[in-house]
Amino acid sequence: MNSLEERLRQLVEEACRYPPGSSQRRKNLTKIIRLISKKLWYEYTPYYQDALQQTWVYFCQNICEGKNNTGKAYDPDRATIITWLNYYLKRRLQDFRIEAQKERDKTVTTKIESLGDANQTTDLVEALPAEPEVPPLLEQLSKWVQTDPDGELSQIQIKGSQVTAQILIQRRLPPEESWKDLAAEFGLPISTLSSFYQRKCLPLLRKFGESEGYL
Amino acid sequence: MTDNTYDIQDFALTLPITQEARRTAEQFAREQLTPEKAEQVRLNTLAVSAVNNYFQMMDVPTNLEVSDSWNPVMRMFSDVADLEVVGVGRLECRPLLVSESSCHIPPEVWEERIGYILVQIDESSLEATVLGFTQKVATEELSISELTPIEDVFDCLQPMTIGEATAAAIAATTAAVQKTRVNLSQWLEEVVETGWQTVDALFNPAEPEFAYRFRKRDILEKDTIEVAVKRAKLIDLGMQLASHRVALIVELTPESEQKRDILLQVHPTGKETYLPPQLQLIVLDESGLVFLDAQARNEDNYIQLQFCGLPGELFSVQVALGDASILEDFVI
Repeated sequence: MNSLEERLRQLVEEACRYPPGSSQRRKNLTKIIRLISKKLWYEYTPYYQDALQQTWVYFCQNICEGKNNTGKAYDPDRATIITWLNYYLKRRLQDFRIEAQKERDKTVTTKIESLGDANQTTDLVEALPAEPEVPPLLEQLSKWVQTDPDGELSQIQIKGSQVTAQILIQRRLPPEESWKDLAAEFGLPISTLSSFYQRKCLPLLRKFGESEGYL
Repeated sequence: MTDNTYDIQDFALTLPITQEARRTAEQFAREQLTPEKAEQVRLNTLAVSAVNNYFQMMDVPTNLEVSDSWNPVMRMFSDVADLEVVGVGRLECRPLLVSESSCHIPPEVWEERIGYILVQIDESSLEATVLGFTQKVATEELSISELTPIEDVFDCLQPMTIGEATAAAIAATTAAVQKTRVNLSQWLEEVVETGWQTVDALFNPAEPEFAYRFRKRDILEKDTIEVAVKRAKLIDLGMQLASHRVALIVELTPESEQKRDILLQVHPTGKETYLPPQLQLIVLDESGLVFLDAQARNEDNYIQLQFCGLPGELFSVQVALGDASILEDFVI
C-alpha cells in the first residue's frame, strides 16, 4: 500500500466517524476530493465534466454509507477508492456516449427526410447577424426609473446629500458609470454610495422585477 | 513565486464545469447590453454554478432561484455572483482567470454576505478551481494569499444557536423536501423569498370586496431600519377548500437588538369574509413539536398567534384543514 492510499484510508476513516451533513464529514470529504481529483480517468469529451460531477456526488453519498438509490457503500477490501470511482465514472461516460449517439441518429434521420423537400428556400434575412439591440428588460427598467411612477425613487436619498435612489439607479443603468467616478462626482466615499445602492436601490429593483413577472 | 502561492496550490480544489453551467452562463450573458457586461455575467454564472455543484456533492442545500445572480434584474444592475445557502445566507462566488492572482470585489457586494469564495475559471480545460474562502473583505482587491482553505466555509454554515447534529438533521430534511427556509431577519434588509408579497399586493385595495385591507405603508417609515416587516403568502389547501384560498401573513418586529416579535395571521382571500371553520394555524418548534396553535370557529374573520424569538432560531408554521395541510419553515 503506497502513501497516498494510506493517507486516503485515514481520511475516509476520519470522515465516516462524523454524521452525514456535519462540517467534519464535509471537510474530510473535501480533502479526499482534492487529493484524488487529478488522478481519475480523463478523456476529452463534451460530457466528461457532467460524468465527473455525478461521480463526485456518488462518492460523497456512498463512501461511508450506501445510499438506497445509488448503490452499495464503498468496500476497501474490493478496490482502491480510485479504481472504485473510475469504474463508476466510465459507466457514466458510457451512458452519455449512448445518449449522444441516439441524438446523432435522430438528427441524421431528420436531415434525410428534409432533403426530399425540393421547394425549400433559405431565408437570407434570417441568416444575417442580428443587430445588437437594447434588451427589453433594460428598456422597461430605464423607463421605470425615469418616470418613477410611485414617486418612491426620488424620495429615498442619502442623508445630507442630493443623491436619490432615482439618480443612482439611473447612473448605474448599463452601460454603468464606475463607482470611483460617481464617488468623486458626488463627493462621497464609495462605501457610502455602494451601501446605499445595496440596501435601498437593489431592493426597489428586485421588487420592480418581481412585479413585472421576472422571477 | 512566493511561499504563499505554493500554499494556495496545496489547498486549491478542482471542480467540473458542467454543460448545464456553460449553457446557463451563455444564456445569462446574451441578455446583456455590452460585450464587457456579458463576459462579467458569464464568468459570474460559471463561478456560482461551480460552487453550487460543490455544495450539491456536500449535500448543502442551496437555492439558486432566490439568488441575485439568478435574477435577471439584479444581475443586470449589479456585478453579482451570490449563492443562497438555505437557512444561512448568501455566499459570494467571485470568478478570476488563470493568470490572475487577485480578484476584484465590486462595492455592491461588500455587505449582506456570509463570505467570499474565489473561483478560478479555466475554460480550456473546463475546470473551476476553488482557491479558498474568506469571511470578510476590506478592499476592492482580494488577493488569493488572504484566503483560507474552502472547507473552512462549513464552519460558517451552521446557524449559531443550535448544535451541529440538529443543524445537519434540519439541512437533510430541507434538502429532501427541496424547500426554502424563509429567513425572517433578511426581511428587515428587504430580502424576501419569492411567493411572499406585501399585504397590499396580495389584498388588492382597488377591490372593496376583499375581506382585509392594510393602510398603505408610509415611505418614511419603511426607510428606517428598526421597523416591522409584514408579508403575506397565498395558501392553497387543494380540494378541501374548493375555490377558497387563504393567506398567511407574517409580521416581524425587532423588539431590541436581539429579540424579535412575530405575529402570524391567517385571513380569507377573494370574496370570502370568513375562514373555513376548523382551519388550524400551528407553530412547531425546531424539533417538530407543537409550540402554539389556534383554530377557526364558525364565522371567524381571521385567526392569529404571537410569540417572540432570537435571530437564528428555527420554527415552522402549519396551516391545516382536515387532511390537507401545508408547512412553511422559517429561521428568525
